[in-house]
Amino acid sequence: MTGALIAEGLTKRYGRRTALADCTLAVPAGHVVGLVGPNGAGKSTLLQLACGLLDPTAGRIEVLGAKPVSGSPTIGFVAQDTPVYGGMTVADHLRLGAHLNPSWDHAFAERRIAQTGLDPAQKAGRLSGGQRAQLALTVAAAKRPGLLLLDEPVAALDPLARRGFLQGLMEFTAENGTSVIMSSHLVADLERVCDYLIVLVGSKVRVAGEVDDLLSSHHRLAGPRRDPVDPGSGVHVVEESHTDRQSTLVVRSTAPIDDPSWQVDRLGLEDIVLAYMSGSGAGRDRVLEGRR
Amino acid sequence: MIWLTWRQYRTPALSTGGLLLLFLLALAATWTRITDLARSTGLTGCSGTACDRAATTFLQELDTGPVGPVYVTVAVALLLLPALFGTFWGAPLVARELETGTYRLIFSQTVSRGRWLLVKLLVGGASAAFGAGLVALLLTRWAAPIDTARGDRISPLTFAVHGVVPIGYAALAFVIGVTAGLLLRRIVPAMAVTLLLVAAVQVAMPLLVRPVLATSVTSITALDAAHPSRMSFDTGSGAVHVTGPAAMPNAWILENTTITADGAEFAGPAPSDVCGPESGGPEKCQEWLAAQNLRQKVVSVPGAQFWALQWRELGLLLAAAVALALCCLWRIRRKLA
Amino acid sequence: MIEFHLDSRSGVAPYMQLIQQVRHALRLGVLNEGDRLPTVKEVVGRIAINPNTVSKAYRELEYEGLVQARPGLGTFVTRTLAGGVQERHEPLKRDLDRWLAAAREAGLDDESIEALFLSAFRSFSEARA
Repeated sequence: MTGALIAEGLTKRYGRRTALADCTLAVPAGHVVGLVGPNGAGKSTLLQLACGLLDPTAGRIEVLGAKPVSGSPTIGFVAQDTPVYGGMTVADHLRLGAHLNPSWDHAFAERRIAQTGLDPAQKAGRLSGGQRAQLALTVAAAKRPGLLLLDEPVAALDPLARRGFLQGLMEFTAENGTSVIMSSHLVADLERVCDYLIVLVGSKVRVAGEVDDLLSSHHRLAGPRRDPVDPGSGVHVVEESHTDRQSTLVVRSTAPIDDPSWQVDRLGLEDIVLAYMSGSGAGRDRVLEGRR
Repeated sequence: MIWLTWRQYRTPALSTGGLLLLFLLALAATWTRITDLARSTGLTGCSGTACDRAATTFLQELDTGPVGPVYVTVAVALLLLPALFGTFWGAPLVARELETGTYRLIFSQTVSRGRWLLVKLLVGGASAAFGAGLVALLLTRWAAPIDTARGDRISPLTFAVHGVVPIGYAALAFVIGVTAGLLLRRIVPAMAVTLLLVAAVQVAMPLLVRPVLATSVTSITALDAAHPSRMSFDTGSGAVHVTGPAAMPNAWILENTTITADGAEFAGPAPSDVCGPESGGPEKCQEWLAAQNLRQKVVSVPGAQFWALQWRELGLLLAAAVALALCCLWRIRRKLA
Repeated sequence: MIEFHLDSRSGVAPYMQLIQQVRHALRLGVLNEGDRLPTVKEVVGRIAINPNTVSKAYRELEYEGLVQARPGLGTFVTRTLAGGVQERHEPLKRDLDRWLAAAREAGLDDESIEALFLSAFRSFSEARA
């Protein structure tokens, strides 16, 4: 089976600004992937590279075994702010999809519109954020893509609309087995719906892997202060903080931590993501780069 | 794709179409009137000097009825039509998609960027060309008696609203609008730039390009100093400038200068008591000028070249439009954001 | 039919929450032998959760022998946990009540009782594991 998304040294620069730096990923198919990171971390850039809207400055990207080009029948994309044509009706959008996609499933599209309670005669410009997102998802899903890319689809929605959107998305995934990559900065939502997570901070991939693996391999260690910290081989320190008495670490380790002086606790997904996002993780890299 | 183009642009298309239809109806409604007028004044089928008299009465009659205003209105509309196509059809075409972000919706459908733009360019450009061409060709037929009477079919302003060149202007203006929208990515700046560029093209064509396309004819005759079309005298330097009569019907006069026997441009000087303010009238100066053995040099494009020049200019405009369209297609395939 | 819910603050993995809810329903007699569990699509459509999570929970339940998947028909309950269990709970709960009363008499407040119970429970489970 080819991966849903494979990237090697993928880099995108806009003039002198680097939006995505040396990104290497291998996301297997069949997952709902959460792409998480602070605003401006390069999430949109990665997704737009993956759907062929952007071309990489350097490196290689492969989606479902092929170089992505816009207009591909196998990639569905719901862009940030879920753009729709304000002057066209909901039904017009479905006709648009039917005219432009040979693989269009009109019965599915109409069923979904009815399910979400949208009025086909309504102008898309007058839809609420949640309704617009549902419409954009319907248009992207009805072309029956092998991979669905969603760029912050729920960021602007109220909790109820957000839940409605995610329900629809999950139903679609359960029905079709479509791979999904979805960016968000709302970790709580991703925790529910994703089984694979990519953390992107400062245009770099910090960690990527299956959620269950991430949960079982990350630990919080608390113990008497020690500096420098050496938690042992095979243990990667994600985040560390020290008071004058105590040291607290977030570490990644596949092997169990057997040092009895540490109190070892499990971490939730949100804690893991926050550990990667917080400044100390980034600071460490800066120090390393300075030494090189 | 064609359905989408129609769905997105039916409002501007229908409103422009309605406007053009209005002009066509105005032309149709006055058609019998203008032919009757040409017949009753003897313009139709006249020959020799009778034509000049018939033309004068025809033109006088013209101003009393609705035909004159209809002619001016449709001609001015045809002059402004390219700007309309460029700013309201062409400029928003890509700029609206880029500005509102809907390009991200459309380019994630199963349609390549190149094909998307190509269809829009073809449908929009062809419609603009068709609309402008229809009105222009009808106006050319309708206004044939007026052109005969005035003998100015090849003069720059009339030339631009007759024959086939309006097709070229419409198509080029549309593509200029699309290009501006693609490069500027904002509707309003794209519209403003398009307006400026289209106006620049419309001014530059008769001033710089059309004289090159045409085969001009130079005629040198003895200067008729008794009937100058313009005369001036500079009291300081004594320089005198005189321009001979420009009575060349059915020709586009590019240059009308007075030269001396050895071919240099004549500029005096003339004695102040002959041509100056104290001479008491232009007669003495005219006599003096007549004695200078001056010639009148006229460079002109004869009216017979009208259709040849029309086709050449149309070819140039369409070639420019196609080249620009190819640039757009190349650009949209390569780069978007 | 059982209706699932998800508590995102509990710290318990989502698939584990589903398993616990099925077990709980089996214990309370909400689910009986032969009952059909909601399909994966129904569950994700209701609580907006990853389909793989639901499949994983169902697989786990099947492995425990509580349910059985019949292709094309759905997942059905094969065994119930109700009955005898409740009777066994009663004496244990009485012992625990007695222990709690003793702890309170010894001067422990609620928090201390909870901490004591949890630490004892943790070391007990660790010793077993």
